[in-house]
Amino acid sequence: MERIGKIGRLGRLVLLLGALAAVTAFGAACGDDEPDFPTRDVEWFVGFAAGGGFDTASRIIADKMSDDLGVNVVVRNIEGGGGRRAAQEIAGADPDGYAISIMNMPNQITAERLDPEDVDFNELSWVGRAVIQTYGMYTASANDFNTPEDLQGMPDVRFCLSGLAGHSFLVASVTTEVMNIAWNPVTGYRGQETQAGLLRGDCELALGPIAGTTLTAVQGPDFKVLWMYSSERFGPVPDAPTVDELGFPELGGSKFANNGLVAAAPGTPDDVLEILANAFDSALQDPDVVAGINSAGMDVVRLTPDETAEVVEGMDGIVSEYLETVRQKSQAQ
Amino acid sequence: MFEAFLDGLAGMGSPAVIGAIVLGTTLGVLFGVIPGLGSVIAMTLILPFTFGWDPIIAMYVFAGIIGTASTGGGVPAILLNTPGTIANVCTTFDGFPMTRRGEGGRAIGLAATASALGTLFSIIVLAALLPLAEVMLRAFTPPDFFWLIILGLIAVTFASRQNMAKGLAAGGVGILIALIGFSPVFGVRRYTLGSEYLWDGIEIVPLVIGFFALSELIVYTSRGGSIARDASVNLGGFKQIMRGAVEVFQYKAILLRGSVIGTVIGAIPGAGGAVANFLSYSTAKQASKTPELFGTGYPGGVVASESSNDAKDGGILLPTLTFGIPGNGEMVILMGAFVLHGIQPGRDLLVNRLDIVWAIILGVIAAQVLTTIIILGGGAWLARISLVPVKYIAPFVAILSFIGVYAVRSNIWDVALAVFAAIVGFSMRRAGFPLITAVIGFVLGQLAEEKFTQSLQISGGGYSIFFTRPVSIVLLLAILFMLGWSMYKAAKKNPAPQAAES
Repeated sequence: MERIGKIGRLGRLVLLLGALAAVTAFGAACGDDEPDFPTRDVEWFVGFAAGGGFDTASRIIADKMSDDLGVNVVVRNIEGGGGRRAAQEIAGADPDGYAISIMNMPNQITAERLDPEDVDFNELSWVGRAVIQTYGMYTASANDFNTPEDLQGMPDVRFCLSGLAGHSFLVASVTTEVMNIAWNPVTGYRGQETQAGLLRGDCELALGPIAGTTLTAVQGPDFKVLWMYSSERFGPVPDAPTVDELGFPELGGSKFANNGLVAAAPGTPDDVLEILANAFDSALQDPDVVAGINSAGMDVVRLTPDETAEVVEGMDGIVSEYLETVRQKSQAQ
Repeated sequence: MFEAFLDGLAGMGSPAVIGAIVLGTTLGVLFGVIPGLGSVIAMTLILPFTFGWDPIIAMYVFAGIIGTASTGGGVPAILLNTPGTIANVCTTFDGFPMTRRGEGGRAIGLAATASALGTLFSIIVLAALLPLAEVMLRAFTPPDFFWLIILGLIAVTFASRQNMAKGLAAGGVGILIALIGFSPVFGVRRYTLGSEYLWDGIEIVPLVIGFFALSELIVYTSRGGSIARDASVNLGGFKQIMRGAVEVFQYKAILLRGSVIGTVIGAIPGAGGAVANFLSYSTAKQASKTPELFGTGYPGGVVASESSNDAKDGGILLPTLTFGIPGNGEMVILMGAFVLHGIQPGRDLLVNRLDIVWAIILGVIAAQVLTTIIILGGGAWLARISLVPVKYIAPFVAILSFIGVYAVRSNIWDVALAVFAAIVGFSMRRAGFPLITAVIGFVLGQLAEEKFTQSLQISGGGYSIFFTRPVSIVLLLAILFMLGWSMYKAAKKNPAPQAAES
């Protein structure tokens, strides 16, 4: 019995080793289909200063993605050139999925076209859309104009803008051309300074994402939104008409919205991109993530990688179409 | 409003609030003392960690940092001739000569007390002026802003203790450096030499660290010894620090003037602590019966500098809380914190979230008191730094400076720029060109260009906009008065050659 017992233990050992070998072999076989990704931390580049809207959204999403991927998704601020440094960094990164970056679109396409640095946004491997902010045109409530017709009758409408190279300048150039409004930019207004400029009468109009503190301001008594650059009424400002309603559908849709799009390096393998996109999309479905992004003044409207690439292509087309208008106005200053 | 104040006061006893104030104060002092870091980096680093915290607790942390960094920044300005923050530059003029005389402890006592009193003054003014904020901001237009900057530039040139022509030349160099980079206003690149690094222009942190900290290190390393020339000098310890703390009250007029200037300049977006610092120092010097003492280790110079740079805290909160217009980097991060915590500045904040307003106000006061205690209590120990041989301090300061430069943008080229600026700064020192004037020309040159352009865009190209608005006229008269007063004093000091000959 003792001998049988010993053989039994040996037998069990052999069986255990056999099972281990089988599991290992099965794992190796599965490994042929599943990419060994990620095995180390993933870097998430933000081309803007810490504390801003895109930085905040990135940190919230990256934190959730870390749980899903099983590795840290580390946010790294690579400031410079209005997001250009981060764009160049991702455009030149290894196509292994270990680096992704959030882009301010179509702002960065406009900047790239006006002052080329050889970053082709259509070549990037798009993961999805992190955030969106809808643009609107607003003014001080004290001003007595309300419609494009009112503005058409004015000699020179002044717009408070950050400068002559940003997305707001492009939207202003396109809007005034389509609506036939004579205008002039007043530059150097960033963030909330714009609202002070409107109240002081430095300018008559301002435009930008209706979100965060701007949204609160236009919901108050001092400002009014003249129209939204969308085809459907904007929930937080339901009284503001859309450009479609005003008869300018060419300015509608979400063409002029501010998008935070996330990209990986050009040529990232499809299977790696899929893992990233799934973790990214899963994070955006988390109620806490959405709440965090909403509290930072932005919305979540999810896109697949293919849809994101299409959006980028569409933005590129619009910027190309109106680039000459922008250049002419810029040179006239 | 009073009820919210009492609630805020009662809430300060909770362990979480005390912990938040201690955390904010510690970070503020630490980042203020280390040259080149400062409050903006401290606030930036802590910002993401506050997500999910109670907004009130988060605001106490931020208030702690805002209220303390420039106070902490006075310590290296006094002991190492290296301003901890840009707003401590004028403290070096008299604080460092005092250290060299073996009176570093006394200077620290002066600085800490002047800072505390300046902050207290500005916070009281802030609380009183909140209801009038909107009127003040609407009154200040781009041409008014332009004249204020010109006033600042002229004041800085007068503050230069060296040759006036060299001061003007250095200021001009600063303005030229400011032109480098992509101009968002005009949408063109200027003097970037095709370099992507120069696209953003010259960053102020590497420039200032190179000019002040590293070039100073070159000077002292080549000289050897310790920062205090006579290493056997007794700095006086705690008694000397307390002597300085009490002595502040001998300079009541300078203290009050510095506090008023700091508060007013702080309330104007973009002007910031550096402008307040220079205006306060130069005005104190101009008004003094003994202007020749300024720059030689005069205690009044330290009071003028440190009262103004901390008094800006109350002023700078005014446009941020009322309009959500951040006047400097600290306020930009505070705005980021507001957004992160779902707080909306403006009427909503002032009506619905007065608890947040009072958390910030009370937090700044509490942090300032705590900082003063830390610096007065630990000043004797801190003062000993100036007796340590330079060969030990130099590597320490160099490493901290490089970490500070690199930490801001994680860009190694910023470190290279700091080294280049150190060489240029050292050469300028040798040739007698004031570095301070160059840096202020750099800072104010950008703003002046922007406000000048804005003014012309508003008027459609007409220059009359600069001479027709009431605030502009007042500022213009102030400039003319300053110029006239200086010429009068110069003429009085150096009688006409004919008179001398006769």
